[in-house]
Amino acid sequence: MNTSATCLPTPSAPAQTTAVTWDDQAVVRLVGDRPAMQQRLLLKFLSTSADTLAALRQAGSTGDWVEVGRHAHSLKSAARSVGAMALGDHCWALEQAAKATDVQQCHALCTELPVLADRVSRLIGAHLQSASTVDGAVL
Amino acid sequence: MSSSVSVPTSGRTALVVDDDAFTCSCLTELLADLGFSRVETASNGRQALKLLRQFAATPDVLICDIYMPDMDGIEFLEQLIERRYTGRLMLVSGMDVQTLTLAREIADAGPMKFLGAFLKPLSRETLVQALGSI
Repeated sequence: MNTSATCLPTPSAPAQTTAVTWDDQAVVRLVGDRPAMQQRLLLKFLSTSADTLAALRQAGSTGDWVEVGRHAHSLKSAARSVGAMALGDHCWALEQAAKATDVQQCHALCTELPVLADRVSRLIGAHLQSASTVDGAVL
Repeated sequence: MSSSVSVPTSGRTALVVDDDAFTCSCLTELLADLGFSRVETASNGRQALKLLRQFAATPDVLICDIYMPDMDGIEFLEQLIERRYTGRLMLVSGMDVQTLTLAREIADAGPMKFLGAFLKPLSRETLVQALGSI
């Protein structure tokens, strides 16, 4: 029985917009049951995302939308890897706006980006804090 | 979540080509955990071609992102084919399935040993399965 046609999503279906801020199990799915590695990678995400965000801001302040798009692409990839799906989706939207040189949309998304990134950083920071107090993890 | 599949990777080498520093860190950690003794990273195809010349032998696996600045994964693949690269290759990409499919078709037509094309992020479990064929 061929049911594939009925299983395909409707082309006009709206995109999913309720992405979670941070899924703490994503890093477990990524590296397996390795708490020290999970923590090292989350710390690495915090530092690299802060650097990328700073570079993105700098590029945005000079209107360099090619660079904004490149940094948004990079941050999107890292964010989705650690389960920060809403941040990843936001970066995807910024990447698309930068590609289209939609300056108004770029400005709007750039303004919201630090708020979202800060929310993710706080959640990951709290998680790392609780993990280090529970098992005295070696980072 | 960790797989029970045993991967004989001790002393093996890898080259990771990705413009995202976090992805490079992540894959370096995972490959080291799987027993790779040397993992080099490059942020684009041009840098990867330079690094490949520094390997005494072809790396046991080359993991390449598709979307990168300067020289992207597609152009890098074409360069590898032109150089008759015969090493093992894994392709990765973000959400762009179409580009990944195109890259897979190019890699399939080349002389390299193609281990598969995967959506990011590349998890430990996926790596173990893909490298199991080494």
